[in-house]
Amino acid sequence: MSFVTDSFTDADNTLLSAHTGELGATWTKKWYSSFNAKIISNQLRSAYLNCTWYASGTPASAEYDVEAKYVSGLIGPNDFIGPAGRMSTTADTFYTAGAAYTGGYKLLKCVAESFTLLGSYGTSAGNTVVKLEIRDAAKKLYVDGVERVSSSDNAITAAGKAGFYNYDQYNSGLLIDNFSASDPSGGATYAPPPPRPALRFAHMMVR
Amino acid sequence: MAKRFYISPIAGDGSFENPYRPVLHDTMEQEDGGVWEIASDANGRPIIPYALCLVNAVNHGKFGGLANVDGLPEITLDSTLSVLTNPQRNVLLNFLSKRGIDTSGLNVNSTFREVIERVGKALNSNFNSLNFDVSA
Repeated sequence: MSFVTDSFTDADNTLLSAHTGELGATWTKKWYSSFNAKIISNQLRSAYLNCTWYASGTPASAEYDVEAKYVSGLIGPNDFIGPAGRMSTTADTFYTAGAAYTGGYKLLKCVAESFTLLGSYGTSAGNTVVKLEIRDAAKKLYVDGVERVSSSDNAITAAGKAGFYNYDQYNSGLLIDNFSASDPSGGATYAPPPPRPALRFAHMMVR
Repeated sequence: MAKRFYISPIAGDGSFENPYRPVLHDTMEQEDGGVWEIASDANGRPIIPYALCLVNAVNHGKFGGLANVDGLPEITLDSTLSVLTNPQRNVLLNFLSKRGIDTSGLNVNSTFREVIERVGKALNSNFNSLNFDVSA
């Protein structure tokens, strides 16, 4: 069952802090950039430098999946953006998996602002869906539905929140789309908003 | 591409630009991948100065010259240590014992998985070789 979905559909330049997604998606910035992420062309554009945001939705347990589609923008050697989970709302502590300019895709943990690289899948990061699967037994990085890295690390155990982390080194604007977080029982991933109903024109009698 | 286990010292200062990671990571090439176990304290800092690594790479030779990086035997996890010669077994067990990892009970009938589990659990009591993998 999804507890967060966000297609980032909104007016251009809407700040993420002022945006509300489809489900459980009002956003709070935790760390640390003074800049704001915003909506551009119905996609999420990262804030400059280090930034974490978490969504309002609450997971049923500490085991859940978080995913987002990486679109574009990686140009700086340290650029990274990806979904995050077990995000503390009081400390800079979380797991994240995402697309990186250097090293392809990475799985990391951050504990009290200290980053540890848990693993990497080496290929150039492209327009792909990245999923972070969080279980006590393993933290896994999926790229387009295929498991690429699995780590036994379980240093962060509290459920926390789901969200994303970015490092936008040159303010190039890292873009992601179709964010979702779901509890494992439902197995649901991103569900797009329902299509608008078709317009109907009444027949007109021409006399 | 082939996968191989290593034990590697740790580099980094914990910043995002310079995260804690095994030393051998910096010799990996763009197409290589890996996963590693690093023991850390409540502040995210390493508390044991080595990492257990599983690296998928085209060329593993490039890791051979790295100081204090030990490549473990290229055998399957379900192989017993009997497939190794005596000297090879001694080298393997020395890789563990010099790092203070208990090798008691490991003998020719032990599987390589048992060795990996011994190293992994010295770093993380939650370690499970079945959940420690990188895609080929």
